[in-house]
Amino acid sequence: MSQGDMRRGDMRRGDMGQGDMSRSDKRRRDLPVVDKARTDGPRCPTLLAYRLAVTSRILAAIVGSFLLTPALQAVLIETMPFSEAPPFPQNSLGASLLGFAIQVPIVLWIIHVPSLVRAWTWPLLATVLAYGLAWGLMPGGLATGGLP
Amino acid sequence: MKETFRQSMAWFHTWTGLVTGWLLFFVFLTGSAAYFKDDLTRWMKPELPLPVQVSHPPIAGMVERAHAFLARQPEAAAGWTIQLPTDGDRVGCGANCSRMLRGYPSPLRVQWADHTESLDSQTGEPLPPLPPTRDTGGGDRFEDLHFRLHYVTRDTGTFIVALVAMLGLLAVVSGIIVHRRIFADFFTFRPGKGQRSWLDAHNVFGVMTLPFVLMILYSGLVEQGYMPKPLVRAAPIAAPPAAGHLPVTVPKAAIGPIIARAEAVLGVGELGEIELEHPAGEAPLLRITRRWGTEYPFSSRSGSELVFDADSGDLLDQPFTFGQPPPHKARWWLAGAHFAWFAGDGLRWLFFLSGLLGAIMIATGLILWTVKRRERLGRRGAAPAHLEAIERLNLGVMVGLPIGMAACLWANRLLPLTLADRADWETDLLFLTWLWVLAWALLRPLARGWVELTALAAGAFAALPVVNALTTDRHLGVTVAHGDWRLAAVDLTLLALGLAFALLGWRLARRGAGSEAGRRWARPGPEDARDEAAAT
Repeated sequence: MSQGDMRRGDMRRGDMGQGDMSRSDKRRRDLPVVDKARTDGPRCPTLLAYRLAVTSRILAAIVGSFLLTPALQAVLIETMPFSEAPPFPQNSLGASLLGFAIQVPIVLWIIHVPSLVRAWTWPLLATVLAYGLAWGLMPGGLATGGLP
Repeated sequence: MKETFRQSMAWFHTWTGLVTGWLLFFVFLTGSAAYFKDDLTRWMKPELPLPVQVSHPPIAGMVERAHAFLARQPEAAAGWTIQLPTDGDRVGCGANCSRMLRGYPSPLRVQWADHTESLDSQTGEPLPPLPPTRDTGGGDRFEDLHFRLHYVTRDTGTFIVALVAMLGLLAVVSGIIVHRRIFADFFTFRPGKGQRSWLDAHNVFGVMTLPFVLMILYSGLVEQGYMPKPLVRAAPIAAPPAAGHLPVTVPKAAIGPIIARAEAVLGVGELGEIELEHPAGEAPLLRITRRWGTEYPFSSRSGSELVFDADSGDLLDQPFTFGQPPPHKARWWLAGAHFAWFAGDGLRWLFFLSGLLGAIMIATGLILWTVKRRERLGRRGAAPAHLEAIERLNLGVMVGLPIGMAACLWANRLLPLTLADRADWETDLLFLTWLWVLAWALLRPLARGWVELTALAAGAFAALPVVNALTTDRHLGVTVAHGDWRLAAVDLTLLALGLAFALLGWRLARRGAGSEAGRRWARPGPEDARDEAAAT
């Protein structure tokens, strides 16, 4: 273990004195500090792969959230109890106002989900389902056998 | 992404905070200043007379005198607007209308065609014009910078600010998830412990400002208009077809009962404007609008006015505003909360301080990022170049922007009054000064740079009331004696900011002088050369 690695071990211990260390702390101290790429992403063997995975996940968060949010808003428009009559369509306004509150958890979920494949596919699937549900609910939609 | 949800959120919080921190700091600081934009505008236009409270006669009498004046104007046949006087206790509508500034009573005014005239509310005769004021961006400039930046198109600026606000909102929510002991964090501050102290400070300011920051980011996003839009059934709001207008005359209906009925709906003392128009094919219409600064000000004009038949005096249209559904109310609640339209002096100061504390929360987060990495990497030798650069950019932004804002106010007082594009020069000098400070922060030793620039900021702010006193007759001696505390508060706040920076600089200098790094700071010697060699 290099001197620098030892210092990282020191940092992990924080301000605790040697006598205060629990067995798990000691075990953690003795762990070798390995490359960030390997510790942060077990599926990313190299730094380049790690960076590509992060980039892909950020893109998934952008694309997924901007597809799924309007789809969920469409469902809201069909389910909110207010008037949709012009010139002030209240359901659309309400759904728009809630847009950011919907988008934030979607982004956070995509950032966290362990599998990159799921980060891409689930929002897309959910988008299709949500639009299908909205179509089913809307007047002239599936419920009445017509087209939107 | 990471093993646990909280670890993922910690990673996300760190990087979104770093990516958006500087711009968010800029948005918060300029936005905080914008809460007092009208007071700043009055400070930046010292030619304006000090406010004098005038008692006005009943509204019906004022309207009749205004009618008499308008009847003598040939071009007024196309339609006109009467703006009732205000006592200046509410915020105005800024750059969009020049008729009112908070803290500055506005007279009875009439508008027709391209003309505007201020009238004596007792006699109905025109008032002498106000003295010409210097060309300045006023406090509105800070609001413009806050939401649309500068040197970019409006669309680009608002898009960038919206993007940053969205990332800021994500950073806040992920930060809440990370700090599971959020209540305990509020009461925890352990000074003098390096990274831990910065984390405590970040937490304390974060928890303290959390409701404000959540509200301001969310409502700001709604205001910027870059909200995700549903793709189906979002019915476009069609503009009403333009109709021709017939000439107008003084309303045939008695104005007294109309005013009384309008006050019964909008509230006594809540009437703002009275407008007369005559659309082709309809009766002449008298529109009475609610005063600015209530819960539904500009942009919702159609929702806060009553429409009367000017010939019969009948109420034609109960406005949409009253009894409106929750989404519409929510939209205007968010707007009112963001702009603090409803806020009196106390709440306005609370918003201002919350904005400043929010900026400090961002600043402590950015410093924490560097301190953490410095502690992790620095002991092994020199810090990597990107860490050095971020440390210096932190200094350049956190101290440089306030210095730039002070420079804008200095420019307001010192630039020649006849200078072409003087208002633009004020803003240009803000950014030129900021650029110079950034260069200074990049070139000087970091610890010394912090002390030098905080001292400069202290001097720049504290000297402004002195410059004000030397160049105008709207200094503290006059404004306090006159009882114009809103204008005096600008000078007093500048002094307080100067004092705050002086305390910060003094503390940094003391801390630097007591440490090894500080001794080297005081006497640059061969150790510096060694450090630089190690860095390269």
